[in-house]
Amino acid sequence: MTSSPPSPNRRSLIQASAGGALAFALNPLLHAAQPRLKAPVKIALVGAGRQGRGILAELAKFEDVTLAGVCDIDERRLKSASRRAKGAPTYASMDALLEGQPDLDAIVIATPSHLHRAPAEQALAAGKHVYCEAPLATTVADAKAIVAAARKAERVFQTGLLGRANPVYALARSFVRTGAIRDVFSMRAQTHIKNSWRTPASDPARERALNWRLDPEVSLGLAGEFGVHQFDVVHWYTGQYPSSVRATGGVMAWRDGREVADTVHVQHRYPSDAQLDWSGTLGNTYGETQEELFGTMGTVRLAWSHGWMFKESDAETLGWEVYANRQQFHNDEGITLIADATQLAAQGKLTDGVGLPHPSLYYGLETFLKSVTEGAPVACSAEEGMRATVVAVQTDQALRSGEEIAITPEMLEAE
Amino acid sequence: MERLGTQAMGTRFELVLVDEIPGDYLRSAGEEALAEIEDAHRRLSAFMRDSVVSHLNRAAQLGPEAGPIPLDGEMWRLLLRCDELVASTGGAFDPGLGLRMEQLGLREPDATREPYQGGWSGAVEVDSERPRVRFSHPSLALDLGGVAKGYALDLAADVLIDAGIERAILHGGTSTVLALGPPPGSNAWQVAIGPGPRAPVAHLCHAALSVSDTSGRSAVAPGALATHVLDPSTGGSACGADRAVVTVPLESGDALMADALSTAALVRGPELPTPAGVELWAKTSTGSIAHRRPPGGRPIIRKRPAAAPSSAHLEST
Repeated sequence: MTSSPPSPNRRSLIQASAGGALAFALNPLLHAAQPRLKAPVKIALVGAGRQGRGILAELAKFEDVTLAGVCDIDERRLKSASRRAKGAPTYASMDALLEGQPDLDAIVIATPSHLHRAPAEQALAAGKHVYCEAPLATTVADAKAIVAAARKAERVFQTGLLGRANPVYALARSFVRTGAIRDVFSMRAQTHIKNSWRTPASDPARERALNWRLDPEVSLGLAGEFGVHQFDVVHWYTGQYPSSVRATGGVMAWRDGREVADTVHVQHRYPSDAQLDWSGTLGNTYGETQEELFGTMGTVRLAWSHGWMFKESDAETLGWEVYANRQQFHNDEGITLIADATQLAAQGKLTDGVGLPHPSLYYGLETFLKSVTEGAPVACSAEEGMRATVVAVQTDQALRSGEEIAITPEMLEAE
Repeated sequence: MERLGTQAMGTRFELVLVDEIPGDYLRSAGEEALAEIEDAHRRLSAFMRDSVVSHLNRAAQLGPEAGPIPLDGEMWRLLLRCDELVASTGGAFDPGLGLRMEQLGLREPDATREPYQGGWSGAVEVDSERPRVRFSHPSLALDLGGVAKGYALDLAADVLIDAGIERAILHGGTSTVLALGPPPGSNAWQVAIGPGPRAPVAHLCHAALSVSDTSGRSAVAPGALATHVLDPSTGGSACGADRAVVTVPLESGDALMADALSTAALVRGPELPTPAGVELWAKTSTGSIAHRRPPGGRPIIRKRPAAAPSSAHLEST
């Protein structure tokens, strides 16, 4: 460390050059307030639940996107979502949507997980680009059928596994891939929320349909609904899939007669012997949603809107780290990973950059829209989505059976 | 009965649901209502970088050259409501003062922007036909703190009503309250306005209430003690009243309106024009109390009889 702080010009130059070295994978317009596309897009949403409403909010930021329809079989969901939908027409079925809006370019599918396949196949067959929420499906057969349909259609198909589109995650991944924390030999991730997962329903017919997450016949439980997103971050960072999975869990917090476990502990063992420990619960919010990758020279910690790198005390310190923005967590000091560091540093506003300027979902949709309008590479293909889904399906299977389940290359191959 | 809570907007929100129906159902309806509050928090917070308001404020910094900024339907309707309330309160309610909050040390400063003395009317044009907004001054910053709690409670109440819940009380930080039907055996939810056994009590049934007080956040600026409520016409602290309580019947208004009017009453004082049905109680800096209420019937805000035991369901501070 120097004995006196460098002049502001030199400091920002160091930060700018460090940021510049890492910016190669990043969107230079990250900080732009007005997202523009190279062409207009007419898009519709199928599945108007909470996730669907989140999608509507992010799509509304794009001036070049016309929301041409919102579709849901449930009238009350449709009514609730349409308040956000800028006056777009509503439809009670895919058939009605496709007939009513023949000029649609793309469809976003946010129906319950076990009901993705039919609308995805129908949308692809109708020649539309498709963004499909994760998990892709709740069975291996359905996931592979979606891949087959996507391949045949020659349209953009993106799976909504948002880690792969997240700018902070891309930045952290570049650190990991270039060896900043050396070998990743252990991983940990969690999703903690406090919610019963119950949806009120006025009559028994709606009750079962609305409470699909708690229906053991169709639900992949916490591993499928939460774990899949985080398992896939590890797949993306390591370039590998687990070779075997184990899971235990039970009903710990919501003892209301349910069968789907509300607390789950998962172990994914990788071919390198590295292991991911994942836990999910509906009974506690501590730590919320995060992933940690441990290497012998450091740790990367990711929390969707934020990311940090913690260096081991015997790791080499790079010049730019001396001036990096830091955050203290008890005895650990993390370097904040700032996705638009170069531009912000040049404006002297580096601390403003802590935390992404948009929710994760925005980046998933933005990259999809760019794939549709300018042929940008797809952030998460149908195949990648299928493989993550297969891992989630087998994890849930391990939980139900109490057995360790091997993940073979055949399981991960599209047919 | 189910009692649920969540942290949002820098305070604790609570719902108390007392319909005599199975707890599972009440709880799940309550969770959906809380999810609306949490969603509103994530969308409106000026302190969260990825909120919609922060997105709009970054766009505002580009100035009028940026052109109109697209909005989703709900944000559009919220901004239109703010527009109406700015006009109907004669500018006493003004959510366009964010930058001034920075200048008085009540928010982190941004030295790169030029000062802006105007408010909403000078710089915000909400399109009345299409969901978009135009900002005409790069130093404008939206701060919806004056209506955020009411807005969130209205969304939560809609979910409860939709789920068939009839008897409930919801509040945000005890300073904004929304009452649906009363508890079984009562005519109204009783909300004490302030601490102590002598505080008046509001009797709420299908009504919203908002308390605004100048003794909230404050900062010392050169020459003056600045409170977090600013008078848009002077740019300085509000001084029309020290404490204002507004109640609004749900048949003609909502919690958002109650929030906006109680904030405006701190600025304009008890003379603030209010729509029919609204009751306004204000305590000025001299300690005098003004109480304006609709003609006929009992007032909602009543003195507590000297010998009555403290039986309020909620103490609003």
